[in-house]
Amino acid sequence: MESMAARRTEWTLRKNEFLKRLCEAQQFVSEPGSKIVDPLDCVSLLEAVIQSGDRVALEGNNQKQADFLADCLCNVDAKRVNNLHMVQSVIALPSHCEVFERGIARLADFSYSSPQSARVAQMVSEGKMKIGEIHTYLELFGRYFVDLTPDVALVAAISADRAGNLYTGPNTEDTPTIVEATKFRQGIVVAQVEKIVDKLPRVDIPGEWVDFLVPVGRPCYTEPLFTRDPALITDVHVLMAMMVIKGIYGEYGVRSLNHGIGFGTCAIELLLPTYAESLGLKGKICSHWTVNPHPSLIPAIECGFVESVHSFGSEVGMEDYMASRPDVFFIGPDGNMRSNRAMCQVAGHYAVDAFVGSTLQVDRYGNSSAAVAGRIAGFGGAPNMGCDPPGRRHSTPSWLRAGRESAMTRGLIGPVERGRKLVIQMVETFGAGRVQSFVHRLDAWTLMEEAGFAIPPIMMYGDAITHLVTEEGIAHLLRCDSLKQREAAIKAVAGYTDLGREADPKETLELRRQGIVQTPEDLGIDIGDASTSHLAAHSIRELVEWSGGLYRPPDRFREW
Amino acid sequence: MDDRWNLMQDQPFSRLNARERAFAICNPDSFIELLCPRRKLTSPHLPPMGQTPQFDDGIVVGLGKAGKAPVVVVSQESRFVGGGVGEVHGTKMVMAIRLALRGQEILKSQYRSSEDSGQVALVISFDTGGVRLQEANAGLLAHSEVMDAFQAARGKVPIIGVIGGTVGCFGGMGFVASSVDVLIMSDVGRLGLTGPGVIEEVVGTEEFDAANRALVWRTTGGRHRFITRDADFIVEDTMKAFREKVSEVASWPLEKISSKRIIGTGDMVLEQMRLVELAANDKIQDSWDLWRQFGNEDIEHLWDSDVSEFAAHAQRWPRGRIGDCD
Amino acid sequence: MALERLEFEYTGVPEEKRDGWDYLHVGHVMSGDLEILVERLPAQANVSRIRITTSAVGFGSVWQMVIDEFMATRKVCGCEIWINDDGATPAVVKLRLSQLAREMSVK
Repeated sequence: MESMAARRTEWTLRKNEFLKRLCEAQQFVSEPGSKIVDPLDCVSLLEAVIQSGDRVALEGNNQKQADFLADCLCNVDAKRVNNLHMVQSVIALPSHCEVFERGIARLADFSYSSPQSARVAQMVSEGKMKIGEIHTYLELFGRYFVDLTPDVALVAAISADRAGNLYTGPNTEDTPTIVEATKFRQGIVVAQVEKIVDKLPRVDIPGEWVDFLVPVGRPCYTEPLFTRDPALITDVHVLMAMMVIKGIYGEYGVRSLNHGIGFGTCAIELLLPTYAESLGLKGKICSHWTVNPHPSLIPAIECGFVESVHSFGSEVGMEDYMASRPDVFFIGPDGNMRSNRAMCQVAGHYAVDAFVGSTLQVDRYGNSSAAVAGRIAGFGGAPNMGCDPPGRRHSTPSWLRAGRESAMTRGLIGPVERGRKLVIQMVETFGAGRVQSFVHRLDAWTLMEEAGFAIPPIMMYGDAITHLVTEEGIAHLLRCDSLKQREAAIKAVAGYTDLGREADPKETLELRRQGIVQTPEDLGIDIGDASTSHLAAHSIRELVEWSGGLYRPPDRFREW
Repeated sequence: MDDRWNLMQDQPFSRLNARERAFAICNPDSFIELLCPRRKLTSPHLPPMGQTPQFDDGIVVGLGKAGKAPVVVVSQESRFVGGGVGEVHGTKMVMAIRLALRGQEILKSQYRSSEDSGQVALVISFDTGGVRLQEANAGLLAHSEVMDAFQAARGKVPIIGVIGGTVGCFGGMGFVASSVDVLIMSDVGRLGLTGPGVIEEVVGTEEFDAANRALVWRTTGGRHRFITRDADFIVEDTMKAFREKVSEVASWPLEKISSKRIIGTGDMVLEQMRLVELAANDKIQDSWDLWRQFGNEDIEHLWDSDVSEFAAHAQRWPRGRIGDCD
Repeated sequence: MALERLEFEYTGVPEEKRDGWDYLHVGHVMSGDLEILVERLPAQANVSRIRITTSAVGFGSVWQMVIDEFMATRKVCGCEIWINDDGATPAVVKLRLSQLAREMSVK
């Protein structure tokens, strides 16, 4: 008889373990049966519910931060609690690094670390932080439900009731994903809230999924990450934005889209009610958005360009405005907007015609990266937004046209038609300090060597990019039928950079003739006409005026 | 030309550059620039320090008419080295004041009364952080020469100050702006001595967070300056609002304009010291405490209201001079 | 630390009809930007001179290419163009030159 594996008999090891910890932590609740813990006891609470080697999800989102819990985690006794494995979307706050500096945590799996990029690189080189992997948001969320399930989640909400129900409001962001992954594998959920109330506006997280509430008495820290002051948009941004609107949005009929947070995309948003309107594109482009509530979208919304906006997170100061535009934003029965990073990432990955982002460096193959030597910044959501999802099956006019134009992907699947998402990168040929944006070797290679990564941290692979837009023109890379032709098209718009100077003028002319490269002139755009005077708003104050006073910018943006 | 002038009137004053402001604050087609960029009167001090000079050295001066009054206009450009005052910049300003004075003398000698001739007024649009660091000695000297020229103009040429640019008016120029007869500000304009960044550096972020723009503006901005009567008028951030107010003030009799001054006599200094004493009180932690002290109640509403509503409802410091024509 | 000065000269065909301007001025000297002043050269109407003062040292060959392209497409003749530059990128330089050309044709 063949030998068989021994039968497993224990099925509640995790449950038992966490029950034991919950019992242990009961000493810190305000009264028996309560979930409320005095902020002064929070460090002791964490020492009771977290054990060395645990996987801890500390809610560090793109915007909302469980900052009080992060501070408390820094203050646990490192002799008792250490060797933690942190899983979090964003390493955003100094305290997120402090947890590693103090020897409490050792391993990190995350998605984005731009706000602490230099410190993360330094901690890695000093051996204080070990990086598991750097993910996109969706990858990381996916792994929460596979091999990176948190043991303990430390999250943030606006308010809670005594039963533990949480109201996370507009900045719901990552909380549902973190809590679900943790709680449904029996883990422990601790939430910091500003206050405990009798009745919540709505329930974003059911109370049964929350074990402890820490009423901090102040709102959690939220970064206004998507507010761009229109005053900082330059004429060159406007030029590139005009090219995108006329040469791509108008041409393909881009209805649904995601925008990055660069000034180029900000310029596009502010040109919709003026320039795009003058081209007769209202109602034809940019109606459905998967994007954070950029204040710079207000004029386009007010002019009826925008039909719907679903968001990853909220934006500080936009709350009242969104609540007053429930036809456009995703507003709950309580009247307030709710964001959800996981849902919006899925939407931006699968359900839009186009993504537009900006980058720091592009190589001759069109690979682009924002990696800088000495800084580990991660990816965030851009790679998921900025790629053509192979799993997509529904069609739109833009998607079909882009598919038909994709010269290199045709043929591999026989006579079958398939569409394509537009992935557009905007980059000036020279960045700040006249640093060349087109390079022979991406800095990502240097960073790979420094940090010991398996592969260079490429934000967008060249094959994902359909359009490269510089002040020199648009390279319709999807229309190229060979890698050689792609290179020529990239060089044709690389201007006076070393790479651009390799362009063969005759070949460039031929590419222009074929419509693979279009200069502003080819598009009928006079460079001399590109001016910020075309923008629908020139300052934060004008955005407030557009909103009828409903948009209330954070203090750091109020210059009047 | 008129088209351009008309277009500018509706634009935010803060967005226009120094040349546009000088052009559009005067009547249509009346402004003539002196020492224009074509004269290439640039700073000799900047090139050795690796700073590219600008052909007008960051200041526009010229002649025009504001309403009925002939005006000499001075307009600082904050885009160039932050509007910093260097040797050429300062000299252009000083010579403009002297020109106004000389013009007044000529008018007086040729016409019997100011009713026939109008009177020459000096209009200065400040947009500067004060002394240009690269040429500090020359810049400091220019400041004292400007004050000297102001003194010479007292009782002869009315001086109207305007602050509505993105930099505002700080450093030594803060003193200069406080020495004009009438000061007109928008709520974008700021007036102070030490700049917010320097204050933060010296006393710390907890005491003064320069990145908190709302804090900076409610401490130095036009609304606060109007309440403390450092500014005589607050106008909307449009070219038109500034132009109309300048024209209006320039048409006043000299005595009325001069009566608006807040420094220049011992009594005025004592009066100013009263405000300092008030502000130095322990109970005053924020400019808004001072606003409350003067009887303002719904501060947040006042802060967010539009300029005309603000000007109508704001309770101002009951300075001794209250009651005269404002 | 010191500034770099560059000078280029172009010969061309004098314009038959002169536009109604004597001199034009655009832009500001600020980080990443430049001012341009253009004046008529009355005597030698078939020559144009470009005089550049820049704080970004070592970009002479890029300037040469940008100006070459501008002079080739806009056929500017009989002018003296003065540029004060504080590290503008070629994109900004081209844009300001185009704005200038626009002014030239409007006036």
